[in-house]
Amino acid sequence: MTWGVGIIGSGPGVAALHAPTLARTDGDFRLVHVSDAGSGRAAMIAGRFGARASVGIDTLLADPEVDVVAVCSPPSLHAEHVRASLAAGRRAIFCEKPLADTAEEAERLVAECAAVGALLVVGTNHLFDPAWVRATHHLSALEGRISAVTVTLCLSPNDRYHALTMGEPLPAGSSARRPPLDLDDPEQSAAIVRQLVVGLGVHDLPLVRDLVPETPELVWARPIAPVGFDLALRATGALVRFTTVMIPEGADSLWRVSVAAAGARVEVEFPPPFVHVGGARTSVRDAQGVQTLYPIDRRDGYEVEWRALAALLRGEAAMEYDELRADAAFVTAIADGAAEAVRVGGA
Amino acid sequence: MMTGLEVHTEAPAYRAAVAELAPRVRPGRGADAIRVVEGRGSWWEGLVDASAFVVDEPDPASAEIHERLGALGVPVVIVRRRLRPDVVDDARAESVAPRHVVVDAWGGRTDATALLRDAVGWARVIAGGPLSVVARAETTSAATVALRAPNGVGASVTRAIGGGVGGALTVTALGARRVEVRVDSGSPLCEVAFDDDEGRRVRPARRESAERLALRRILDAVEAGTAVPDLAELAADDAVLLCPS
Repeated sequence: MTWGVGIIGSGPGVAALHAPTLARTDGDFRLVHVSDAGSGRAAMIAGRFGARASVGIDTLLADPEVDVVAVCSPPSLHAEHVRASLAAGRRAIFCEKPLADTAEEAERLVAECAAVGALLVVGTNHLFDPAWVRATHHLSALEGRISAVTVTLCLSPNDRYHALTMGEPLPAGSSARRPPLDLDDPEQSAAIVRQLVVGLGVHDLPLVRDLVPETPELVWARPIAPVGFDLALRATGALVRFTTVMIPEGADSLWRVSVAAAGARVEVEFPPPFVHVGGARTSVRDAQGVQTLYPIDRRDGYEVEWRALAALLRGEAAMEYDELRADAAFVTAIADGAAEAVRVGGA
Repeated sequence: MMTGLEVHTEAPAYRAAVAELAPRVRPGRGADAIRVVEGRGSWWEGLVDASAFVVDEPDPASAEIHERLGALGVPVVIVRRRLRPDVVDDARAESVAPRHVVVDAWGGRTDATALLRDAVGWARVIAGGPLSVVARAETTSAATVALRAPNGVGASVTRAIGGGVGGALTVTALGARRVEVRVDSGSPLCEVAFDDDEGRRVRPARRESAERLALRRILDAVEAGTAVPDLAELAADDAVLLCPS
């Protein structure tokens, strides 16, 4: 069966990512409808894929060919658009990360999905990357305690990668770029750090929770210019260091998660966003000192997250609402703690 | 007639290094000799009866000890295989303006304190100055420290105990041009690489033994009468270990 997908949103994450990614799912999905808020970009995207376009969400949600709603609107609208999808009777939703801005809102949304049996996948693509699945299996098999987890991001602008997944660029959207951090303004810094943790840290904090699931205690958090943060956590007896910097120019993006356990060290290096050059690169140094470099899976997290939704639709996998709740609570607790630490100049 | 400075050492690796530097040096125990001191325990007590010293992998020392050593007045080269000065030179070979520096280290429990100290040393090198402690945390199997250089560049150093056989550290300067240093007990060679919009450039491997490098540096200092910064740098890095946040 091929499910029709209606995408709410018309940003680069739609044009350069989800719309073309649907073509990688071996016919599980096809794009049938795209909507925007009036920019006209939805029509351009839809035109490229033979889909329909509309303004606002009502026409899309009323489209009988839309089996799956993909909520790819600005993050502040995710909750509203998930709810609207449920209200329109849609029972399969893909929501870009973050699901919601607060743990309470995420809790309510997941509960509302669960109450009607709606399937919900949140696009935390790294969590779906086959390399991460392999890494966690490896660590689980060791049964060794995790000592430390470090996450290091040094990101180039995403538009560098858009050209690799689009035939022609789309007109720029109206959304302004995030302003650089003003390190002398703790309120502004705190707000941006929170936004970064919720919107960017959400890629990898669910991975951290996979390994150290207890509620974390924040050790420090501080902003990094021009846009970034550095924080440390203590959770489940382990230490976690998470550092990210967004750079307007320069080197290719670096996106690395390292895990030290008693008997092994695992390093997972994710590819830059948007591109499809396979999944992450994983290396493991085992207790005997043997270094194993795993082959890179041809599938990446973007593709697998959609396949995961297909598996749910086919009844091959069960919805884990509690995991979605817990991931959202984990991320937002860290975001709130980091913002407060930055506000009071904690580090 | 014998030529060259005397080197007082019983350690096989340093005796080999003496042979590899002949005729600039030769074995000997005279008052003007260069003495090689093993860095375990109270290594500072061995810094006597010589004109210059090489201290091999010193255990961390207190601020009081370092204050005493600061008044020593003779050249002292410190051998830190995880923080070789030639690799430091490589890491400084291209201009990098880091926004932040991260250092991840892991290794065995026996060497854990010195490993953290050397990881802090790399953070100092790449961040561009002596570091002050902003925050820290420790568990039974890991430690992490938030640091800041005088120029405002932050550094985050994490050391885990475990990770299998051996140990390693990875240093990454985050910025438009990155430099990454990998030091791994599984290889005698360190790797230094620069990444920018031109791609990745890897520095040639440094293949001189750590012992020969140390003797060559102390010889250069003695012959030229120049100061060696190693003790002061060691003191700065040791101070981070002892500094409360």
